[in-house]
Amino acid sequence: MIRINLLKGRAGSNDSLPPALDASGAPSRFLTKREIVLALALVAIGCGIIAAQVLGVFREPLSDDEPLVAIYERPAAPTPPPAVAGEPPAVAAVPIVPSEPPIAAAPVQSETSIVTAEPPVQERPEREFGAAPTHTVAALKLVPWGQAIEILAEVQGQPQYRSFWLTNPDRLVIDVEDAELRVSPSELSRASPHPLIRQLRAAQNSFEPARVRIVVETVRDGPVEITANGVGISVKISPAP
Amino acid sequence: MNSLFDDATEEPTGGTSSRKSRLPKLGRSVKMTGLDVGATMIKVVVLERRPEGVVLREAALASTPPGVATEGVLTDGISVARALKSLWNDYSLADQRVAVAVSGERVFCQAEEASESERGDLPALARSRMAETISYPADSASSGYQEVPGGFVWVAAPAESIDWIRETVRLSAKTPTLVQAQSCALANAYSFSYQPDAQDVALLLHVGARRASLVLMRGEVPIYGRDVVINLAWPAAARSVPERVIAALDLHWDQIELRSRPAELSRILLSGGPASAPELKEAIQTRTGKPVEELDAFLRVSYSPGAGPGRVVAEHRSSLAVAAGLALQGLEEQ
Repeated sequence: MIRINLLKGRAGSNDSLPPALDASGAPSRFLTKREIVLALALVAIGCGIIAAQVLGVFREPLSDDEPLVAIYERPAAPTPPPAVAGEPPAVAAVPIVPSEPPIAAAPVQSETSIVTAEPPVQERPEREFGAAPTHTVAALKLVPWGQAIEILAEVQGQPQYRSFWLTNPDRLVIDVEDAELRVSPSELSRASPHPLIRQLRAAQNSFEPARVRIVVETVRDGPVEITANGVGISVKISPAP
Repeated sequence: MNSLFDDATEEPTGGTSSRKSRLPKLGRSVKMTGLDVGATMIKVVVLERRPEGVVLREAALASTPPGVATEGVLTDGISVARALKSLWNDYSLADQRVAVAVSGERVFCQAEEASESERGDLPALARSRMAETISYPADSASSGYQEVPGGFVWVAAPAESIDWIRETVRLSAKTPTLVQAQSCALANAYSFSYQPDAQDVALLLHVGARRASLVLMRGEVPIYGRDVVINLAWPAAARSVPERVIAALDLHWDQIELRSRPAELSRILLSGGPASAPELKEAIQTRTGKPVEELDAFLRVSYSPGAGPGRVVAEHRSSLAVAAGLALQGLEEQ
C-alpha cells in the first residue's frame, strides 16, 4: 500500500484556512492562546455576576414595613358563571360505562375534567428508573359498529389506564400507564376518521413514568364505553340516543 | 510518508508513516470517503473497516457540472463544490474526512532503485530524481516518497492542483485529509484486491473521459505511472476510443517493457468508464498480446450486489476503482 499523502508534502505555505480536522483526522487547534484567555475571563466575569446576585449584593435594602417572610396563598378557585336557563352547562358529564368493576376515581388532571367512572387503577408496581415500560401500545384501530365507532388500542398485557374529559374542544383522554407507544406515524394522528370523531391522536405523554396518552376529539352527547381486555383498550362511542 | 521539502520532519528510516503501528486497530470501526472528481463524472465510495474486514457503506456517481473545465482542467471550484454538496446531501454522506485524487500530465508516481549506500540520504536522492523527471520547478510541487524493497517510490503533483482540490472539497463542507495521485490510488486498489506476488508484473490502465492513467506494478509497488491525454492530442472525431487508448499506450510501451524486466508483463487490468467495452479489451489484447481483464477494486470488500450501494458497484465497478483505492488508503492511515 502506498501511503504517500500529498497534503503533507505541500511545497509552499499558503494554508490560509485552518482545516476542521488536520491530516491525521484529529481536531485542529482553532483558538489561539489569547482567545482562550479572553474566553476564560468572560466566563469568570459571568460567574462573578451570578454569584453576586445569589449573595444579594445588588439587592435593594428592605424597607421597614416590608415583611421579611413572604406568605403565598393559593388563589381562590373562580366561581362558575350562573347557568343560563335553557342552555346546557358548559361542562356536562358524559356517562362512561366501564365493563369492569369501578374503583375509586383516579386523581383528576384538569380543572374541567369529569370522570364519572374509572377502570381499575391498581397500585403500580415499583419500576426501576429507566427500565423499559411493561406494556406496548402497538396499534390504534377503528372498528365501526353501525353508527357507533370503536377505537381499539392494542396493548400487550393488562394495562392500567384512566380516562377523563377535557373541554375546548371536548375531548376524551385515555392515559395508559407504564406503556410505550410503538404505533406507526401514520396512525398517530387522524383527522375526522368518523362522524363521531373530529380527531384522534396518540403520543408518548411522558417517559418517567412511562405514559401513553390517547386523545379523542368527539362530541359529548352520546354514551362512551371504555373496556379493557387481553387485546387492549376499547373505546366505544355511540351517537346520542 | 515523507515530504521532500521538510527535512526536519523526516524520520530516520525515511519510510512509511508509523501511525499504523502506533494506533491500535482492534475492535475499531472507521469509515473513509474516497472521492474521484473526473472531467465528466464524480465518483464516491465510502468504505468501513470492521474487525471482520472492509465493508462497502456507500457508492455514488454524479455528473460533473458542465463548463467547469478549462482546456480539460477543472477550474470552476465553486460549481464543483456545489455539485459535491448536493451529492453529500443526496446520499446522506455525513462523514467529514475525504480522500481525494489528483491527476494530469504533471502528476507523477514512480519507483526508483536505490542501493544501500544511496539510501543513507534518501530525501536528497528522492528530491534529485524527482527534479530530473518532472516538467516544472520542484519547489512548486507537492511531493512525497516512501521506501519500498529495493528502492523508493516518489509522487509529485503541482502544488496548485493540491490547493485547488483541497479548497474545493473544503467548500463542500468536508475536510480533505488525504490527497493522492490517481495512479497511486489505482495501485492501492490493485494491491488490496489482488495481493500480487512480489515479482508479478501487471499494467493498470485507467481510461477516463480525457486522460488515461498507466501504472506498471511489480508486486505491490508502482514502478512507473503516467497520465496521458487521450482526447486532445488528436482530432476526437477521427479516432475511436480504443485507437486513442492504443496510441497512449504506444507512447509509453517502451518504458513499460524496459521497466518490466527481468519479468514479463503478465496481464493488463482495465478500469474507468469504457473498461467494460469488449472492443477496447480486444484492441488492447491484439496490440499488446497480453491478457486483458477488468480491474475489480472490490474483490476483498464485502457488499451485497443486489441492493443499494452494492448495486452501484456491480454496475460501475470499473469507474469506482480510483475512489475505492483512495478510501482504502484512508482506512489504512487511520
